Amino acid sequence: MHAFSRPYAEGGVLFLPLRPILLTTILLYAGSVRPQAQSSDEERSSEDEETVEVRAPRQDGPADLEAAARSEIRLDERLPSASSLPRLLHEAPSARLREFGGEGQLATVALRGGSPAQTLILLDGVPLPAPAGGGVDLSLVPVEFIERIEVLRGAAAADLGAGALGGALNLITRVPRENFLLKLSGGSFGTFRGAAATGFRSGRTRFLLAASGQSSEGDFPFLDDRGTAENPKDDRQRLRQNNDSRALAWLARAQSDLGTGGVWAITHLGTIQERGVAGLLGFVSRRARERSFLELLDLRAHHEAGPALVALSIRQLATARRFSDPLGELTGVPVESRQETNGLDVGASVVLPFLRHRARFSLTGATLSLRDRAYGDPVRRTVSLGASGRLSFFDDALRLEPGALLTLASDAGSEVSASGGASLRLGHGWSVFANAGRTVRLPEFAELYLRSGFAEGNPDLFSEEALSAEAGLALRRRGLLLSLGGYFLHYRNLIVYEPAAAFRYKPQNAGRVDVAGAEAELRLRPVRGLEAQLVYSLLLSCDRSGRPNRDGNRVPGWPVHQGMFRLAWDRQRLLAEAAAFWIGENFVNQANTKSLPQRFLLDLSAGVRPSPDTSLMVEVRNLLDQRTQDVRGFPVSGISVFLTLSLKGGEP
Amino acid sequence: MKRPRCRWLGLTAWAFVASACGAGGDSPLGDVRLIVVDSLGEDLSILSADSPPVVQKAVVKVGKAPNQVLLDGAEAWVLSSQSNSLEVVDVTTWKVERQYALGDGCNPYWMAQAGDGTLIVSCFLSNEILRVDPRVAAGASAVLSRLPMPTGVDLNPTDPQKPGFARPQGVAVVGNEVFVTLTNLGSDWAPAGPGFLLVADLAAWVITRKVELPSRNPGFVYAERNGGRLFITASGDFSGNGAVEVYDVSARALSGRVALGGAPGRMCLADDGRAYVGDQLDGRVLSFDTQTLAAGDPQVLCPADFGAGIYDFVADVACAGSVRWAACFATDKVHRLRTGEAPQAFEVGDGPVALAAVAP
Repeated sequence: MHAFSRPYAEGGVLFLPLRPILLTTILLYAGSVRPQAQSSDEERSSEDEETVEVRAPRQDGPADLEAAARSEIRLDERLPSASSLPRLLHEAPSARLREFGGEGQLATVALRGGSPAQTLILLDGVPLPAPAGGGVDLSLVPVEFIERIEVLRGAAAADLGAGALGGALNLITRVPRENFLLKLSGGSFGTFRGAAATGFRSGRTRFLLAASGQSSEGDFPFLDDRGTAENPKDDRQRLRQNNDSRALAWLARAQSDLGTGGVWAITHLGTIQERGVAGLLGFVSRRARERSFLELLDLRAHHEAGPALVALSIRQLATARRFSDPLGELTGVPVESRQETNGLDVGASVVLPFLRHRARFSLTGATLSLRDRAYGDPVRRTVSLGASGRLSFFDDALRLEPGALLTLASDAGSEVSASGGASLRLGHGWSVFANAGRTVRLPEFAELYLRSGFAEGNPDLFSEEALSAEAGLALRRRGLLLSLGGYFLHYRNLIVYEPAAAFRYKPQNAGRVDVAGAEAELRLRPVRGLEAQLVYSLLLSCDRSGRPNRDGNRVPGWPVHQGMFRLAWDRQRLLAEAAAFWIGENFVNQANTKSLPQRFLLDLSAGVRPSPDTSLMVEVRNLLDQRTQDVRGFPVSGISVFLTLSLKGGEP
Repeated sequence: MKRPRCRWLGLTAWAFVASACGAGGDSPLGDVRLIVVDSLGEDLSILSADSPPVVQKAVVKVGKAPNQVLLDGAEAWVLSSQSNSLEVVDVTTWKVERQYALGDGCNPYWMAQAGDGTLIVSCFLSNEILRVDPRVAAGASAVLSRLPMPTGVDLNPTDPQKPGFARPQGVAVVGNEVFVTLTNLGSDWAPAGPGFLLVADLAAWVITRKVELPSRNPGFVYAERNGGRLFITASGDFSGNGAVEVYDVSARALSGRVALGGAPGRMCLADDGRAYVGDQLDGRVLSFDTQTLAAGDPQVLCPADFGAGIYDFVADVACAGSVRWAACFATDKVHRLRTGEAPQAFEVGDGPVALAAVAP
């Protein structure tokens, strides 16, 4: 989704005046005439510049790409609902969200026909690890701390690092401002959420302290067909049990202007989560539990040295996961396992402007270690060298954006990701862009080393690769945003588990898939306070593995059609929002013989804003009470109701 | 949801052949000579009697991850391991007539028919065997009774600190006795100790004895037609040390052993006096003389025709008259073998795992 400023901030006028925080979105559409964009650059307040530059020095790179398909979901501009982070990602074009059980339960996202593991998930630019494979669990990231989500699709994400085959998501946390926020919500399935945040200033230093908690009993009724879809007579209503979750998270941040053209920031983010693991239908558990812990320590600084900008960062990300299935209900074997990852990366970048162009060079060294006996306690050390540029011609009407990233990994060889794009402003709000490139994904620890059950790691694996090309057209006028785009992706050397013998599977670089798609988004603000959004994604995938029964088939899990419509009202003390999601029918196996039916989700919210800083909202999710599954074997809940009270004050 | 590729050509060809050949005799199966369980496609493929056979894929969808098919007159019983279900398919209409739930956590692996028409089903994960009536009404429970398998130190683990789980797999019924292979796998899914042949009394529904086997990881058990002997295939530790154990039913003792090598899995007993065994390790059909127990030359059938270092395996073999069939799991092919003829391969559905052959 793309950034919109709230009426109170922008006086109800869409996009004008341009605020720096909107800049990246504006650049994406590139629809404005040059003077607007240029003036916005010049009009940056030093305070806002601090915020953007300190927190994400990499924004000098891909984040302000103009020749790319990128979207932004701004959480601080949304109505104060109880929505979780995964649910918001339904709104991004070509994003496939997979929810395994509701509040606090496993949720993953993938882009453009890829798998969750082929989508790079960053937290403030730091890659979140998923050493066990299967992609990053988004439920671990507290939505209350996220200010905006950048979704970068296709090859333009090449600069962000290895892993972005389908694209990348960057979850950007709140920045210190002199304000406060208190949000409380509760509702169905015994769910309660609470979040508080306060920001203050002391001298040249700004501070942010935030905490959030969440608790959900999670049990919900569903229709259990008992594995006999052809026999409705034995169906029964059943309670999804051991589906509870609890989480506690905190965020502390300090950032300061050194007064000499330099800025530093230090961030500490932590989250602890405990939840039941209900399991796959037919193999359910009442005792299996999972505890997860995530901690990020992030120290960044940048310094303006003449026209150049030098940025340094040191980041440490630690995760731990303890899983317990004492009765062996899920796999037939009692399990007590513990897994820890520890990542440290040190990076430096320099941005060098020359004439109207600029170049960025970066060097990052990182180490990621995993403590898990089943994997052999592996360690991966990587060095990444990046170079990107922005070449402006014809008064910035034409931009060329080349970029390349060389990654040297201690256990996976060297790989180059590269992309090149061009954008052209046509006038009257119209613009076009195109880009092409190559992205890679290094084999995960699980694929390389894990020996567990029927799976056997393969240390001879090499990187997966995606070649992509895309082109788009955008129209941006006051109160109107229209974007249309098409892309083609060729995935090859995909790592797929093949039988090495009966009961033994070993990953091999044996998969090839072509994906072609189209993305359309329309945003309207016909009158002050009213916002409408329509998103449609078409995705045609084709297996090119050459395998019988699979070659020519669709990729499982990806519907051909997905759509979303949202209508929001925020004016005259009344708040209302209706959101409808359509997830098309999709196959569940590579042979394309079975499928999950299409899903329609309708969410309705209504509330009041008795004062500009206070709101009370009632939210009804899944009003049509659709109880189909998002992932086969994992039921989702039906209708649910939530009440949210939100108080805030101070600097917007 | 429509598959992206056209299937009308194959269906048309099949309809043409079927109509040209008529009903094909008295068998409710007509001209069908082979039923294939496609584990990954989760459906059945069928092959006709024509030469070459007409293959019809996905004639009927079954449960999740089907494992085995048994024929009984006009019905085919299909055991689906991930949906914990038993499907009863009408082989004249190729529709699922009835479907029964076997219970959460079962992971049904194999079944054998008892004399009274009930089925004995092994539950690989829940470590029990079930007695199932496949003829009850759709809304009723088909599971008549459950019998837990021994566990822990009862399985003579190599390391008493790491006892195994029974993991019952193969089932055979001879008279009033049920024979079940216990793989005895540890928490790492490797053998935790010796394999066992467990014997239960069908009428009393109790375990009567437990026979320790020289081989590890016994998978399947097959009874001779006269019920005199049992052949137990054991894959060992998948390093090429597999064997077939021979058990004399009347003597209640092991009577022989065939050191076949490989990882012997599913098997069939042919009219030529030989047993043919699928190698679960590297795509061969192994064989031995059932009287002399002399091993024959292996026949390599499932070439790895995709990707370097990828090996296929023979998931099942079936014997019918002078014809033998072998299923290659990863290459999605079944091979027809006739003595004196070169093997012929036919593409079937995704992941063929089990076969049921029909004699002409």
